[in-house]
Amino acid sequence: MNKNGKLGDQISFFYFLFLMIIIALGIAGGAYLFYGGEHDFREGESEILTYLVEECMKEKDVKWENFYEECGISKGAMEKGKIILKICKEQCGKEEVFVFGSNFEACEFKGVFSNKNYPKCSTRKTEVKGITYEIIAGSNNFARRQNE
Amino acid sequence: MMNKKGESDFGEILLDNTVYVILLAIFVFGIFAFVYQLKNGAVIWEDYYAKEVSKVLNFAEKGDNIEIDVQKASEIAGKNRVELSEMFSFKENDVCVKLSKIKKTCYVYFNDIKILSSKIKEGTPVNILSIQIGGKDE
Repeated sequence: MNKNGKLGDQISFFYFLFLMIIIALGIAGGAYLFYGGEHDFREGESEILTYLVEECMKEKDVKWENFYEECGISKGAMEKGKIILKICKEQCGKEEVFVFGSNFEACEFKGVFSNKNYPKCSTRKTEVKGITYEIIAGSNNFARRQNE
Repeated sequence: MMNKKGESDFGEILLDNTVYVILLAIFVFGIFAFVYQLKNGAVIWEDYYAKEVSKVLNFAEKGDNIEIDVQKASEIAGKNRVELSEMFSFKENDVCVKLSKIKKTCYVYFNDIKILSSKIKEGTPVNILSIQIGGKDE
């Protein structure tokens, strides 16, 4: 058996693999540049949530232990959509009446607005029966591609 | 005297190149599948419609009857040979939009409502998605 040049054959395999990766990245990159990334709806979704919570608090006498049922919000959906919500009396940092999720500090970092990995937040202040409430909602909800 | 060296060399060459051919076939199939789902911008429009419908559903209340213009989605689904009845599906706070054969795009809405029925009304001039909303207890 002629084993001369076997090493060259094996090296050309990696070159072939490298070439395919470059071509695949080129096609994927071109498609991304042409079509653009997905439409980022997270901030809008946070604003909708704060609006709906405000309306619920104004229309009903919300009991915080039954918040989900009274305001018609699905806890499971919020978990699935990585949505966070915090309601505080006067101002957050003083008295919290309802909290779902964590990492609310990310809503205050100015430098992370362009970072996709951080949630997009909305803050709303409202007055109900003479008491001021601050509502903070954040969404890290992305569309999911899945098979049937 | 028969020279068998050439035959064993040919066999080796064939074996070596089979690996490349298989890898190439996998690569071509993968690229084709990726590009196919981008056909007619299906992925982009699936994303758009999933989010727009979820926005409407988040504002919906029990008893509402929602109608949404889905003419653009219908055209893309038609080009990609997807049935109108398969375009939109709703399950457990998920709205899913399918405009291409391979995959669908799903998005969560947080409003705790029940979708009683959804259907596409084929019309002139546009196709309409009609959604009947019920309460969670229905």
